[in-house]
Amino acid sequence: MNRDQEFAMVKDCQRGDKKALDTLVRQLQTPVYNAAYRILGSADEAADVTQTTFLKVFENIHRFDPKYRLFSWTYRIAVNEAVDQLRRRKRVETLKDAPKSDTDQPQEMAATSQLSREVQATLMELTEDQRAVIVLHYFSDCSYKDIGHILELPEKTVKSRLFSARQQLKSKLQQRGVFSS
Amino acid sequence: MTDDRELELISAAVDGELAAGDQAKLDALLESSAEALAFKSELEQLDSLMRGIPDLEPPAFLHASIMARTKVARPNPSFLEFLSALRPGAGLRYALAAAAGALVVVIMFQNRTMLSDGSYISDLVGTMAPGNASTEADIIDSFSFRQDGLESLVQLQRSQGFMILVVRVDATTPVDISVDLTGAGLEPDALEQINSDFESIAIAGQTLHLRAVGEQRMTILLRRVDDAAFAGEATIVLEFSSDGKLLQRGALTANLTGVKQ
Repeated sequence: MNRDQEFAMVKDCQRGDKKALDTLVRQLQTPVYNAAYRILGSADEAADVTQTTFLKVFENIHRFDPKYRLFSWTYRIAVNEAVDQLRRRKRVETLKDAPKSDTDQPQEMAATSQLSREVQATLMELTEDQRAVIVLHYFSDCSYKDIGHILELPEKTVKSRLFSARQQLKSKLQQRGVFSS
Repeated sequence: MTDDRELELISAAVDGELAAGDQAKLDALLESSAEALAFKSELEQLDSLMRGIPDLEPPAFLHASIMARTKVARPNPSFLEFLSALRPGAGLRYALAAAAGALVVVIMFQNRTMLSDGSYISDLVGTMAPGNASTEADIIDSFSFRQDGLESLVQLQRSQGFMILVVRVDATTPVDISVDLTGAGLEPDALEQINSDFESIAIAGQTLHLRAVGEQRMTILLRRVDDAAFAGEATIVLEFSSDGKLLQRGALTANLTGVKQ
């Protein structure tokens, strides 16, 4: 979808056209769900975050600034929701000392490779900041500029954060025997 | 020794983000430093590994549950026409009579839900025989109960090759409802609330979780799916609980021959 088409769709959404909202969800639900899952490591929470993200997108669509791309604006909401969810989870875990479930994975995970699980486990060892930048770069295919907009960081900071996050990722994947240079 | 700035330059090149004036700098670096070359190769391998991981499919219910929670306040008489044109059994007739007052309001605030083909449930059922009193939805199975401040009527209907699950509740305190479709060979195609505002709609695997308080109604359009666990007859299990305490459990069964995929 080019910018003109995107602009037209946003206008339709702003008018309350449910078909346009439906199109928006169909186009972005899979990337948003994947980004949320890779940040959270939980399929249930990723589905909740995806749902909340779109409800917020609909609520605030009239505030959308067309100088940005719709997907990066949506991702910004999704990443913030996912990070908030991580923080809520930490508070609950502190209170309940709840063990982490390793069964809460999408069905696809069980059927696909061990590699996908290893990578997800490695992602969960990174800090939230590192994980967000890695997820947006590798799984959401965002440019430095897009990542900067989504995480509200200068492009220079994105570059250096991605650099250090990638070094951490590489080293942890090597420790797991998943990656060798 | 390759410094951090040089490593960032290489990273930018691998990421396709090299600034226009940096290409010559990069070429010179790669020519003069085996370490820089090795670093570039390592990044490319990592890139290939990470980008080779396939996307995960969101749960089947996700789209429907998002759209069910979007609210567009506009009347759609066709759905009401459809409802009034149904020739239900005694159970539904009783429930419709009880809900008659609510239906007057329903039409004003109906939330419409779109199907995967771009049409609305309301339009779909409403156009089967618009304004025709002979329109009929067969009630395949149903159960109802009244207990601890909760009344509910659940029906599995069949109309024009679709299965429609209707969940009505009237609860004085929040009630959690799970609709388990595991092994049923069915999945929701769309959800529609009518003058209702379920506190939450969530999905986990093949189970739909709803939370409601007050008088609420959810219509769930189900379509046939390939399901290895399907045993020839669809069984949908519903559980109603409050504050973690199970209040009621019920099951609906149906033969799926001829149900649309």
